[in-house]
Amino acid sequence: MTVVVAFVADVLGRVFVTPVREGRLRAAGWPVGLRPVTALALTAYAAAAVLLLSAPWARRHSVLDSGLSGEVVYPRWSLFVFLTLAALTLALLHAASLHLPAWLRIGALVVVALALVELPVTPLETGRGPHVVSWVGAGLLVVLTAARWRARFAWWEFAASFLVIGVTMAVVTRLVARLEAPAGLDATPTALTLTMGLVAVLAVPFTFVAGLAFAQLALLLAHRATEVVGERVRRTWPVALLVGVVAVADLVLVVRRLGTPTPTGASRLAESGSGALLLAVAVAGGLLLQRHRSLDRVDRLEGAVSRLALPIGLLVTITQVPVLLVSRLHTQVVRWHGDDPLRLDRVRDVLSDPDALTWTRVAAGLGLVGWAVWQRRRLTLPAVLAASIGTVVVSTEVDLPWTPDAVNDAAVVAASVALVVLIGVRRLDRGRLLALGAVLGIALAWSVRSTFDAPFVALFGLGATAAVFLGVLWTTLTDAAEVNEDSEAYPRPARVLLFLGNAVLSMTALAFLVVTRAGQIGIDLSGFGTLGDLLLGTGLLLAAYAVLVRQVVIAAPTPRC
Amino acid sequence: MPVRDTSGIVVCAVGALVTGLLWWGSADLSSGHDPDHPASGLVPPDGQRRFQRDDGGDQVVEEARLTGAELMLTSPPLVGGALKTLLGGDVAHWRIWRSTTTSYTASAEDPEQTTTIRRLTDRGIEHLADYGAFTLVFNPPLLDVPADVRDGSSWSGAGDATTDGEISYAADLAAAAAGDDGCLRITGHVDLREGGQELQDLPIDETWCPGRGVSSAPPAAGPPTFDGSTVPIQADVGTDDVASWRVRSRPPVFADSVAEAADTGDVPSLVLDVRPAAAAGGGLVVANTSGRDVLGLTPAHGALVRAWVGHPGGSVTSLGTSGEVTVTGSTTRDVDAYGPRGGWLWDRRLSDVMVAPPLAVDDDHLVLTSLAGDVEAVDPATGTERWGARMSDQVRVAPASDGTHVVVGDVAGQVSLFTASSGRTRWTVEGRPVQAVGIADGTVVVLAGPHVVGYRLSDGRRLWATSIEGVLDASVVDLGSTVVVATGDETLGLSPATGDARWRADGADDTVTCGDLVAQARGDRLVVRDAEGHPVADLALDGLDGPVDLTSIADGLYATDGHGMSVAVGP
Repeated sequence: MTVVVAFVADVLGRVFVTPVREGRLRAAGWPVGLRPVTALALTAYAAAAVLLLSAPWARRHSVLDSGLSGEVVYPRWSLFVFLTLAALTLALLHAASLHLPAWLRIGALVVVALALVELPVTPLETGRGPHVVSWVGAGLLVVLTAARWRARFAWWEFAASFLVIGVTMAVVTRLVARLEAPAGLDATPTALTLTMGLVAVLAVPFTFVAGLAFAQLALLLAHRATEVVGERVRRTWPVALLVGVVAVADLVLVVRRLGTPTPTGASRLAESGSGALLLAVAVAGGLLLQRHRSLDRVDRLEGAVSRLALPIGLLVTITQVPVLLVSRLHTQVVRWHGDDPLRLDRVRDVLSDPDALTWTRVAAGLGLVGWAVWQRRRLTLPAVLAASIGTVVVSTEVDLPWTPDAVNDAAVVAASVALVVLIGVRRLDRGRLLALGAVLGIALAWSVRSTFDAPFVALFGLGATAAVFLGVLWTTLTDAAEVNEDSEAYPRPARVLLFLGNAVLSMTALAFLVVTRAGQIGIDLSGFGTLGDLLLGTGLLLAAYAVLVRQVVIAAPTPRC
Repeated sequence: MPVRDTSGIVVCAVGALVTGLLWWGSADLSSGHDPDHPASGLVPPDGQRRFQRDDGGDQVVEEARLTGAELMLTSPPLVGGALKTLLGGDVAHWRIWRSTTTSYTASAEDPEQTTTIRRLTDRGIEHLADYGAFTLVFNPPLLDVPADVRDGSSWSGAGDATTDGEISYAADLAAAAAGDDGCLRITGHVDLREGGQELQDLPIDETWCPGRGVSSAPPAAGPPTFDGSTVPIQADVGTDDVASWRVRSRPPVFADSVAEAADTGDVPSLVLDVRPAAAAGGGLVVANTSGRDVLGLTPAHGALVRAWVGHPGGSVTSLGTSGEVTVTGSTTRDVDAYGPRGGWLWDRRLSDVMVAPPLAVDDDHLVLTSLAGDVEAVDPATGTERWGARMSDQVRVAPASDGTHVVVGDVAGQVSLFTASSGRTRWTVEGRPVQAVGIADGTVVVLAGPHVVGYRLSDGRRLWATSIEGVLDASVVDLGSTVVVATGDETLGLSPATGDARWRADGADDTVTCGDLVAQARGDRLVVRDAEGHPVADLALDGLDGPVDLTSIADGLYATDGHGMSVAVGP
């Protein structure tokens, strides 16, 4: 019993503690003033998380109101909380951008200024007051950006930005509310929903990355368990027995899946064939990329994930933010000019065209494969991961009817066949057995990863949001390795503020969606979490298989079973 | 000397300042504040309801708190217009208290519902108007309760009681303490005169209590037993019927009563955010966001005349009917039911708000859902729970039934099939977020994301899946041999058994079943198709503005836009 407890504790420690220890935000060496800003941001993050977890309870015990034609039904008191969180988020992003490359500064300034100038929204004639205030606020941010163009980080930049954004939002909403009150209208929900729509779209890349969390956990769980078994179980036959049990469990799940119609409507043969093809291409590509390198460990893919996930998230969702920005800019230009001489509506239509999305993703996928080939010697594991994700992205956009389960099923069958063949030709040594065991273990954990959030669904009644919430939490805790670095173009304070801004805005957007039960407005963050699971998760799965297959192919001689 | 680091203090101070400012800035000013005097404390909150016994039988009184702007948008033009003209001033800032009294003995010929409009001002509680059985508009307003009312107060007033000045009023009233709970008994009389001759001397004997308003009749225990029909309204329309269909304008009309609706002139502009429902008798039930009322509209005088108004409290979020019973969900989390003439019947509190239309399975089972995932089947006549279940997430789309089973889908992608009579869960499957569900010919059809999936009714085994363009404006309609799945971008006629596409058509703003046919609105056109996808009618929906909602009735359907303008499509 003690052995089992020690085994479980060891595995759980390596799965849940080590990644946090290695990937958390580190405050050592921070400039003056960054700690209180971080403390404020983490307080806001915690508040948003508490709001999210307590949403069912809060709704049951609050007077609810509805807005936007009934699309949001919210506790009225929550509006000011979300306005505060939105103001803080925008301030974090703006303060971070002040020391980032010029295109990011201008991009962040446009987003934050847009959030302010579109606040005075009402069906009534509001007069100039609210607009003047919002434009003055936006102007002050422009001045702050210009004044700090060549300066180094100073903590008061955030304070100034937060003050300008917060005061502007407060005064504008108050002025509009006073003007609308006689008509019995309440504009704050509309203004907040507009702002949250902007905030939510900024959260898309981070949420997309958060969708990877369950795949990461499945991978870590299986790999660490294999690792601990390898270290603690000295005799090989119990290991073989365990691998056999896992293989049988995998095969049972495969057979059960094969007995049901495909979710896409494609034939079973087409789906399974596509899954096998994708597996073969990705693993072959991964093997080629690792050709000039010694054996790697699967857990080192974590470093590659930390390095690549957010850039890939930005690449794959690249049209989301511009579409919303261009759309909102078009609205403002039309509001103030009468028509749109810049024809931003056309730009919006082009960007939101499904074909544009397809082509940008194909380009992103091919770009990732190209980058992988280029970097294969210097950054082998990131290259393997990038190539796998690139292959997955391209195969999705060319309508190959694979599903993650089909890919996994193909891996299970391949690993099981390999086991049998290696036993048959008496080439199954301990190293290969552990590698194949890891493949089968990952496959099993992958198959049940969607149940990881079950306790949260049951305890907090979060439904589909539970998975994204856990993903955002996990990403915040483990994905800050790059944030602890420093460089001329991306100084550490800016990285920290950007990371915190992303984390707070993702949690805030999620909390908003849960507390207000927002319907078909804004962004479906759960959908992007699912997309992250599909593209990044499957890519990670394939990269892990490629690394493990290499261990099987060129395993160092170890005792045979 | 080292410089002291003040960053923590400054950042905290800025955080506190911004939080405070945003709390101040986002305060809800729309509901305003009642004047601060003793009389204000007597006014009941919005949505309060009480029962009383009158000579004619039991009555229910529903209280509404409105702004002046809402009063204008929800009153008959004769009343609202008169008040605005006679009293003038800044109507928008008025603080209105509206009481609607509905008699349970009302009939279709005598749909007795009377409304009293009061205003809170610095003078106290002013009685502005009554309408329903008779119409009175008081100018200057009749002072019901003076601002500083107390035991021993007395007051009087006089003025016109009709807009043309033919009827005048003179009131003498006094207040005395009644009981220990702060109630006041107000007695006296209001003398109505026509051309100087006494018309009626109304004795006043009312009890006013803090937060409970006024009562002038003994209390009743509750609503009487409902003995009307709860059989779901079904369209009985075939291909041959549609050939003679025409489109007729049916604007909404607010009048003092249905009988007097012919000459009212103005058409009110409603704000309809909730899909209307078919009412027994060929009318419509709509939820007007302005005033947060439920309106029973009956076809009369070439229009849809307001026959009754209900005010469940909060904002109405969903609407449905089961025969003569109208059921509403609101932001109070309550589900309220009203009888055919607006008599309140029952309520039921859910864990969260109901936004999906309730589903009338049969005359004994009405299925309610909520954003917390509640699924409850109740008796539509009494609200008594028949059975309950819980989904994994919000239920935002209407459940569906084949009479024996009920299928429910949630935003997390869970689809569950229940036995309609017992609530037993037959099976549950997981998929993508559900946009629409239906049951057709032994197959549960689910529109989820870009896929339409067919599950075998008996065991939930996935039979087939196919793709469809779009996700918004989703519907699944059972036409027997064909199941029609529609979004705003595409319409598919599928075989329920195999999922094979029998026909395809453009998408639609709204798609509903209408007997053996499917009706679709797209822009200003209505297309009706048979099970084979052949258009059997293609009609212009003139006079409507923007996307419309379709509501099937027994022999046709209504198309209604977001302002309440309607057209009837039928023989």
